[in-house]
Amino acid sequence: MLAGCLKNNAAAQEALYSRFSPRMLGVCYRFAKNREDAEDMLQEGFIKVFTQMHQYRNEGALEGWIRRIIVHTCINNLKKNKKFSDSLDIIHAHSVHINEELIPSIMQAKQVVECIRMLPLGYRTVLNLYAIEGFPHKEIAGMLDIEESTSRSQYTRAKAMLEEILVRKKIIQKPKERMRTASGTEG
Amino acid sequence: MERKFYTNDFEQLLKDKTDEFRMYPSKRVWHSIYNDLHPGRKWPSIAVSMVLVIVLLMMGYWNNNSSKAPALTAIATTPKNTTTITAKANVAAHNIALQQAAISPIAYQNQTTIQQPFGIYKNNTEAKPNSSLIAANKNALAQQPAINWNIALGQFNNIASTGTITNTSLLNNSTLFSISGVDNKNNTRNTETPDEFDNAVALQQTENSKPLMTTSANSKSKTAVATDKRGGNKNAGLLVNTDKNNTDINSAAGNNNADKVDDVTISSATAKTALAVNKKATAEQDKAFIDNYAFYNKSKRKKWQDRTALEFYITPSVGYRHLTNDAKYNPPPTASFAAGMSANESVNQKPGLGVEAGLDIIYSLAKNLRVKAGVQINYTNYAVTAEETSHPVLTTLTLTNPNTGFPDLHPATTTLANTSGPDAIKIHNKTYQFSLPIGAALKLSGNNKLEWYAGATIQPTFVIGGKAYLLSSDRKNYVADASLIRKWNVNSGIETYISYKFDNFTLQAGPQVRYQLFSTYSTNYTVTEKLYNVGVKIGILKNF
Repeated sequence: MLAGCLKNNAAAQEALYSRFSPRMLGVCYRFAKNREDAEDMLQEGFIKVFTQMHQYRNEGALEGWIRRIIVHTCINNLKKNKKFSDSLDIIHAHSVHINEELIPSIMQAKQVVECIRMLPLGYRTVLNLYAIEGFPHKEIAGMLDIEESTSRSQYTRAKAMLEEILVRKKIIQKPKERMRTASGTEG
Repeated sequence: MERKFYTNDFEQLLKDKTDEFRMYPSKRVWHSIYNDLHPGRKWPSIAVSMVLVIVLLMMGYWNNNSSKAPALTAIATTPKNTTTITAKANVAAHNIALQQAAISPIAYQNQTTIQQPFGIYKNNTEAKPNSSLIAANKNALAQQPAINWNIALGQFNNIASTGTITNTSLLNNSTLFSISGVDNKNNTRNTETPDEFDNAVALQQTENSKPLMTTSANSKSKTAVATDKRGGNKNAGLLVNTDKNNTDINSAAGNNNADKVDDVTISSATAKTALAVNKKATAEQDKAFIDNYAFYNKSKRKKWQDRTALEFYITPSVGYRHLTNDAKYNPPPTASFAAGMSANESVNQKPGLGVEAGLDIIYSLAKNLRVKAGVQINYTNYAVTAEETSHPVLTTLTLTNPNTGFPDLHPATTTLANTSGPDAIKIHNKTYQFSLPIGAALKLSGNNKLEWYAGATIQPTFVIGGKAYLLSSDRKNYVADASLIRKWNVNSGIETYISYKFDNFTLQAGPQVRYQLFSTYSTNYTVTEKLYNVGVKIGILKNF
């Protein structure tokens, strides 16, 4: 399949796309405002994947390489429309209202993703990059043109907000309850 | 990138759940990616879709003009009382109608013949898959392009089953229907064969539940009667009455224990069977259908398309000529021309600028071998130095007598002398030619982007016209006589070029030598002239 993609073979490209696009669209959906934006990011990302396929060095999994390109594409897409500044997001975060009715009650994976998407853009992006994609804060700061300390503080706030949402939706237990449960203490 | 693994339960939960999450993109995304990666292949799919649309339109037109296939009229309006209409039936008809709208919206809205009627369907009170087709027009069925559905047939005798409806995405309350009429002259509605359809109507509901019946241009008195289940006829079809005065209707209805049908009255939904015809199908479903239609029906790329390219080229060149003659026709030596001097040595000529331009189709036979054929126009030109005489001079041309085979001296007058004095002028011998070059090229080396080729062509040529200044028998003068230019000739060419691939096209450039195999002049003239051109060929290739 990889050799076919390097030769610009359409069938090989479609096979690779079919294999990885569902998960990658999930990645894009976490960054995007809506499904249409996510699909646009996916499209742009895969075009870069195919045109830069010759740069893949067989070091590490192909999926990880593709995912990295997709994530960078998402970030570039977002940066076209918004600057990630701490002050803006902090102000925004205090006034944000999470409409929990929009979070589906079935399929926990989708619930979690929708909860993530409910976060303000800056929080959501940093959380996606740090907690899920595994980028260090230093690299996140470089990608988003913010300070490393801003990235850390954004992540802390994002994590707290998301935990609160997930507890309210009963997807996870409260931290104290988790600790009590873990230690065997009755609540 | 290293994925960091956190011992924190919360973050682990996020990672696990997001890794489980999948979303399936729409077909549009892949379509866009494909077109971006293969831009040269984009237009064929559009072209193929257009060809399919045109073919289907024509098939529909021909079918509708045949005597056994009545014209079909489909009308859609926004129903005023949709709640009173049990028009959720006829999934297949709905699909057909949407398909028709997608294929030929203009024809559809013009209410003219669209396609051969498909069939009539059993009424269902709710839209669901596997709607039963009462009778099918097999010819129309065969002509339907295969999209994401098949039709379930059944319930009646002698009707072949072809499958089940699988695509429910087009089901909608707002539907467009087309139906066919039924020939009930033999009152054999229950066992009608598809070929007996000869009438077609569409039903339109108005505000007062008085639908407007329209019929095709070929509407006759034959009509069909359809009832709902009240008549106990479980296999009732659709309401297609067009002529209330047709006694056949009532007799047919009576014979089938069906409700007699008013000419065009449709009352409540619980009463009569009716079609709901809606002017606007659901925007998203129609749009999705239209968006997907071309993609689903995009014909598979043919293998030859990968190997074939179209080339446009132009070759500015410099033209030379070489004269030869039989030595026995050499004139006696003079002060100007020594004994034994050949014709070529007797003239003062200079190369002139010419050009060739043409179109080629290039086919890759193998990885390193291409063949090509095309059309080309040529302009050849070279200059000869001469001087104008102060008065016309009588001279002769040596031409071979076709009857005897011996040379004759033909008289001619001229004002051009073969001299190069201070008042010398340049006279241009030129021809305009049309060629059909056929050739091959071999790849000598290269990679995906840059390649080096060597090639050769043979070019049957038709000389459209030109100007010729022929050397006189004594070589002292030039005689203008274009009639001696040969009409048919053959040229050969050899070339080498570098080929560079861009995203959408390939650029080729390299030197070319073109040599004329036969004399410019007819065999009568005893001097043979061969032209040759040296130029730089520049071409642009585009794949199919």
